[in-house]
Amino acid sequence: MTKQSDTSTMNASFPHQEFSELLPFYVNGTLGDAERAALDEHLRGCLTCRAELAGEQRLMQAFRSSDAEQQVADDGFERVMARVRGSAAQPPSAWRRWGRRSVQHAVRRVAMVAMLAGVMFGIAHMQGRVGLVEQSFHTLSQDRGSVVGADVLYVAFDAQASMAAIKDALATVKGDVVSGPNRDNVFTVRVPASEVATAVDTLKARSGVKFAAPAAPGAAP
Amino acid sequence: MASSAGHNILKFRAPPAQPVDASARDDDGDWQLIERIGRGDAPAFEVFYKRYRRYLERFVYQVTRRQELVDDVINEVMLAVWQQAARTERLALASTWLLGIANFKSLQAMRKLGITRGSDGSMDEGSGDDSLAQRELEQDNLLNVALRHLSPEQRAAMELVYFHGLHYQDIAKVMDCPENTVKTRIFHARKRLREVWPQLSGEQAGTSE
Ligand SMILES: [Zn+2]
Repeated sequence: MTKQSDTSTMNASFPHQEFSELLPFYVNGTLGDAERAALDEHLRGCLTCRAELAGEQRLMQAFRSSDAEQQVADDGFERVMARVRGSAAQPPSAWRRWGRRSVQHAVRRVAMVAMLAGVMFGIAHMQGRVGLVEQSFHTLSQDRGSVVGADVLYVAFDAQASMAAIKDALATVKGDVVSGPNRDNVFTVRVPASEVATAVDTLKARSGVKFAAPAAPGAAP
Repeated sequence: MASSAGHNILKFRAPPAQPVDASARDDDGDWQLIERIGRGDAPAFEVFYKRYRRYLERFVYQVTRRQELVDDVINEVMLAVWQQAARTERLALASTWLLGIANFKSLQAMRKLGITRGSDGSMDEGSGDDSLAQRELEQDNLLNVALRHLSPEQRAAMELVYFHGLHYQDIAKVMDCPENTVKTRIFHARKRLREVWPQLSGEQAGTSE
């Protein structure tokens, strides 16, 4: 729909389009006094701008009520720190294997932590989100069984455990950090598939390890 | 402990950050944190990260409209915060500084994917297949659909003006472009949105559902 042509700007020394360009800032309340007063004056005589103003208010309302939150992995800070320290400087590292291949992977990382915490995913609450995201959650709900391989463990360390102690403990089981630690100091660790049970026992026996268990559903602690 | 991990997960249902008037926003120690980050203070960095993660999630998603990019772009943004903290001049609100980095990294990620336009091929002044838009409108949130028809730059500008409530001078800083470019970019984005979302033309109240 094209707009009716503007016939009401003759009394303005400022062209209509320039006023129209100010409307978003009028609506968001950031115009300075002089611009605001000039626009008020223009609005009195310009039907088009008045109509656009109403649309602007609806648009701002839509932006401010839109739920654009995203579900991102909880290990974000640790991932940045890993890069800061240069410890993730060997791409393609484990981060990459899990990190960026698809939406499903991003969602699965969240799901892993959720499963760990015993949180039921409110898939019903996800309805109404952007199609892509919704789709991923349906996928997730259908194949939880394949979310993590049998060679992946969750390992929680005492909060006081040093990075060196953690690395040392993981080295004894040939563990690769897949992600973590999350806020609870839980790492997701991949170990050689044939040594999962031994790895769990070895880790559990170490001081500083709060728990160690296979991550795969059904094998949870 | 397990319950607090659960709490993290559930936080994504929390209401979005309240939009704030930039001029009224208290910096709340942000620049002190940034100074400490500049000296290599990791705990300060973690506080800053946690303070701004959700804020960035929304912005990055609104610009890229690609969930699968959000994690990685935030990672890039925060790495840049760490690297730039020591040589950043305190010229604006910390949040504005951060949005500038986030805008740059979001657009960079989109360019790497070869995406510089809206889904219908529209650029700053594009016009597209409106019947397609009409069909989509029946199935999805109006704003989400409409935003797909804008370029990433246009979406960034719209988010900055309507959600973040920034003045055009601040948007120009965030987007690193002249003020007039900000105004015309938003003008064309509004024009485009009115084409795909006619209720915005203001001729009638439209359905508010
Ligand atoms: Zn006018």
